[in-house]
Amino acid sequence: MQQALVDLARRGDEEAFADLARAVGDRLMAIAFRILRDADRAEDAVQQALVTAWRELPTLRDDDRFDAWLRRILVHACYAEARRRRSWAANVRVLPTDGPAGRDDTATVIDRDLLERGFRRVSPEQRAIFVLHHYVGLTLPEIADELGVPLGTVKSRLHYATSALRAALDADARTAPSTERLA
Amino acid sequence: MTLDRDFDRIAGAFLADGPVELPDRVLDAVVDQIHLTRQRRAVRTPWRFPAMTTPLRLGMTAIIGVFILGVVLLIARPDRPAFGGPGPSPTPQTAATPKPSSATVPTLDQSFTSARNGFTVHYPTGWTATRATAPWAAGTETFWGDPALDVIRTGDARFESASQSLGSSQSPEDWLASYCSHNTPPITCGPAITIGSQTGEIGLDGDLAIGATVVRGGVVYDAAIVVDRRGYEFTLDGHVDRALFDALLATISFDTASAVDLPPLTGTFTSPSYGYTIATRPEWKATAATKRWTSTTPDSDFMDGFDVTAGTSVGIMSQPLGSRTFDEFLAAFYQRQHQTFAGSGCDDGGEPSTWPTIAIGDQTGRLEDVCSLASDEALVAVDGRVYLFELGHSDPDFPLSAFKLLLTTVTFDAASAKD
Repeated sequence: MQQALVDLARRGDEEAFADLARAVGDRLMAIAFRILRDADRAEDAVQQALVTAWRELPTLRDDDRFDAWLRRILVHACYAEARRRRSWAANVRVLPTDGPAGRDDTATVIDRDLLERGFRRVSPEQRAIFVLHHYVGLTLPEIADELGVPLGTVKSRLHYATSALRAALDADARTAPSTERLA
Repeated sequence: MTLDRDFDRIAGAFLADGPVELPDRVLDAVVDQIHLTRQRRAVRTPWRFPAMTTPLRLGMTAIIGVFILGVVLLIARPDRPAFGGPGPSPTPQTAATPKPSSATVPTLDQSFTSARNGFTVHYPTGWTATRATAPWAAGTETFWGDPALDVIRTGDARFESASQSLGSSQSPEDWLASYCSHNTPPITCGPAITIGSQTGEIGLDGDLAIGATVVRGGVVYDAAIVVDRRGYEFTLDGHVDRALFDALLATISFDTASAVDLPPLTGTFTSPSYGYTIATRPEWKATAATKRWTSTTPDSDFMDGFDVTAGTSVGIMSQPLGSRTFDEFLAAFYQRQHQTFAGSGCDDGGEPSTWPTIAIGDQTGRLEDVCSLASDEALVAVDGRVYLFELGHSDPDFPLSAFKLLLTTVTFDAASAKD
């Protein structure tokens, strides 16, 4: 079904592309938000990515690669969005939790806040790798292939992002006892 | 320290949080935007190496190269040993010889001259031509349906062309390299191909045409050339073959002096008096005639006029031919011009029989170059009326080529003229 829509859209069928956008929009939004950590900016990135995809669709060789191709466009739209808005780090809107039922209770609001702050310290490129690996579930070679960057670069970006997030949590773990003592 | 399993759990929960739905308003905005966004025009299917290591890939390249070289040498010099002896002397690059096939190439008995792009091409009967309405901006690629393209098409085939001036410091080689790199993905232009009496380079050679191509399952050919510091692209897509592309290109003649990079003429002016409509620019100030033209003397009171630049104006007037023929009117008009410019040192344009023809809308008129310091006059007879279009005080910002382009936009409704 999706393949048929891709084929039609590539040949200039706007309705087919609209159907395609509806089918993939939620997925794109979920990824963009997790990279940008801001709903408004994620929406802008998805909109830009979809328009770019429409324009570039004739360049897509293999319909089976549509999802990966589109994710790559989205990730680049996220980079552009993050850079376009330099105030990104100072203006993060933390949305209320609406994750899946039964989520681990230990992921407290404090943890999320710490991770938000840790996330702000890493570049959009590093955040994208972290999200594609831990949220989308891609392997590192798959990410390298999809984004067109060397595997070593993917590994180092993931390592840096992970370290930054760990450091954010560890810093809190080290400061927590002293807080208790003061209390 | 945070244990790995704790970190994974916390990070997993962190990533699970957040919106998972794209609002409808974003989708609506996308739908609106794509309606205004053209898709890329053409792609070529790149030949790719299968997954190989770099050394293996280089090795394969060398082997294939040696093989091809050997075959070429054997074919080209059958009377000599493949190796040893004096090498072949260098030969100048020559264009691939067009091989039109009479079985597939229809007779190219129609002619189209591009007012914007400065070339003429012959095409088959039954195809329709649509003029470009905008300049081709430097450093950009054209898209299917691009207004910078002259289009000549039939149901399942389409020939398109655009041109642009080279940058002041841009060499022809730079322009061709830029043109080819702007393709998506970048292509390697070549080999040489004959375009009229010139030699260009072929970019796409029967690649699958996708996007808003003229017909599903067609192919696309593309060639580029620089002539007199003007870069041209020619594209043929649809159910077509190389023989047709070669045949079309072979008929092309260039007139780069007539090419013009005039911005799109987005407005229109309909004369309240004379029964015609002409395209305009929004910033052009239009003034309608206040008196009816009855003599052979052009005067501003008789003219619908436009100030197209600070120093250039276009004036238009018309009158019934009455009992005169068009040739008689031209003779009388020339007599008046001759008397006006006698002794002024200004060329009066010569006898009307020597005036070149000019396209005015879908009509063919005559162009009198009265005086390089004064004006050019284009005259045409339509439905018993004579129309005069005058370009006054031409300057480099609005050359004669722009005037000619402007005249191609005229439509006549002589019956609505009010005398």
